[in-house]
Amino acid sequence: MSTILEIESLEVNFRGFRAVDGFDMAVEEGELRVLIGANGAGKTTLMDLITGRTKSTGGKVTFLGDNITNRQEHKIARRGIGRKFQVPSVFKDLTVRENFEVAHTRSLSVWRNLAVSAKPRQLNTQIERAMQLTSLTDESTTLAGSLSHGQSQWLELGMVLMQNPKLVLLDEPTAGMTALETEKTSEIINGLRGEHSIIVVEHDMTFVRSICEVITVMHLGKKLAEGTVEQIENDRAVIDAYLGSGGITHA
Amino acid sequence: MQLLTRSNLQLAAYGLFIVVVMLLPLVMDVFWLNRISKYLVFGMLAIAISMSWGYAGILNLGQGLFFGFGAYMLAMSLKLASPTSLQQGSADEPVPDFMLWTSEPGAPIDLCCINQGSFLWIPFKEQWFGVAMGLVMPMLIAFVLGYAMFRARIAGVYVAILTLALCLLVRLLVIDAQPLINGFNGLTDLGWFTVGGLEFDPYLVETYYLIAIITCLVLIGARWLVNTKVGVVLQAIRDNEERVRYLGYDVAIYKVFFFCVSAAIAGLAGMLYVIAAEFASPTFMNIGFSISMVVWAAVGGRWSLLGACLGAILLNVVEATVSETETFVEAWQLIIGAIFLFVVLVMPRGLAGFFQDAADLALERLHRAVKERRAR
Repeated sequence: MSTILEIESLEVNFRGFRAVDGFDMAVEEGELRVLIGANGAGKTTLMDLITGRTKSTGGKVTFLGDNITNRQEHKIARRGIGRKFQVPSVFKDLTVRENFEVAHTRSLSVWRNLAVSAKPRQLNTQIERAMQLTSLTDESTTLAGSLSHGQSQWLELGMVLMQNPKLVLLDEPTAGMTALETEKTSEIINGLRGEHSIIVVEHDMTFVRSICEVITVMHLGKKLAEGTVEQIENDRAVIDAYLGSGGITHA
Repeated sequence: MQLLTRSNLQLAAYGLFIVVVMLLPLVMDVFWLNRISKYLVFGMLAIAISMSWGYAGILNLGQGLFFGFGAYMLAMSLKLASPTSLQQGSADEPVPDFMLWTSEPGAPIDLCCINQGSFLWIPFKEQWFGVAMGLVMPMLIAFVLGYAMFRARIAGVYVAILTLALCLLVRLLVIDAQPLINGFNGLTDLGWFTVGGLEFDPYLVETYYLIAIITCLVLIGARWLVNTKVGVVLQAIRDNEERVRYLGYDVAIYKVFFFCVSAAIAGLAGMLYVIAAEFASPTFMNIGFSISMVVWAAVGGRWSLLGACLGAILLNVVEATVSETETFVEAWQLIIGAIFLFVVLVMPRGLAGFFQDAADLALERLHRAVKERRAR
């Protein structure tokens, strides 16, 4: 296995506040990595830095051998990094199918897309598969704005997968989901294992246990620990950092 | 195959509009045809607004800038084709009349150098140069402005403020440019737009058809454009710009593209207006006019190109008839305002949205009735 994403002493300084402070991490190809940490630990900021949403003030992000630090967002996305946001971000005034059509990007150029119809007669097989994977086949003509919370999370996940990204960043994919929906989500994510490298930010430890290989714990912008679930749960530093909240399991 | 579907009904509405516009000369005199052709031009402006505001979420309050540029570019060519305006110069050296009036004593009576900027007029002797500029200049300005705004991720109300301010700024510059384009008075006493010997006198049926056909083509073209993938991506950008960006699209370029298309339509509308109204003036860049365009689109339904277009035409017809009815002479602006308020409050998606909802409801009932009958 080779390293797909390498983060070296990454740092961002918001007027004196270092949200991410000398962070290092390496993700292997096909790996499913879970990122945990208390609120304000810098997890979402880290994702912003990887995807170019926030510009770093120090350090380096290397993806597939390319230095992608502080590149424009769409360029990083085109390089092969997909991202699912914490709050479901779908196109509310478009139908589920149109949402997928937008995400299905054979070409990103304005000129080429002028020749592409918005409603091709034939449903693309890739879109069809994504709809099945996310159980949205029956909702293809529903406006995305009227989907349930869980469904819109899956829709966004499906859209991100349409890009066929080599690395997928998932920011709390089960936030606000029912137990049943969470189960289904971990099924979907488990199904992606191996095909894509994945980084998941998550709080829900049952969920983490059901999908996890390696956990990275973030604390105050720094890496606190890295290892398997057992290793992390018995890690002295982690227990200290979560002191008073009964350990990581209840974080 | 279902015949009565939503999209078929929409197509039928477009078809009906085009047929009615084409048949109007059978029932109207040239005076009203001239009026309607101006309203069709306004309809084109509303289509441009619907594209940028409704589909792309870019509220441009300075559309008059692009309209004005289009108008002036063609008006300059037509001014040089006006026999009455030019007979004051020498016969082989056409110089617009106002340039003579404001020239310094002893200045050579020649476009090259009668005043400092007059040489800019020289290429406009060719009518098609004016036509080309009427499209190119609005697009060029839209490109530079759009690129600067959308690269810097300026959005929402700030776009509205910037476009409005720029429009007013250019209006001031135009008013100030007395020697070059007759400032506050604008360009009047124009010649006729001429194609292959056919002179488009504004009170000819041919002129009505010129404007009507171009309006219909713009309507069809705009409809085609919003139904391509580019159009859907644009609506996606309106809904959630971030999401589109992280799918790998260069959001700014998509916005710039539509901003330019919208500007080109406005420029085209400006030129057609000059043909129908025979003047160009800085009033085209008044705030009130640009805001009217937005009102037309809002009343007609900004998410529907045809709706916006019809909104512009209907409001102007109402305005013309009400303002000329003796009882309402004092109150017509109040009436227009009341219509606007009523539509915005009762039908937030405009007339088009109202009719679409009604049609959807009727279709649903119809389909249910058919099903029940089959079941029996």
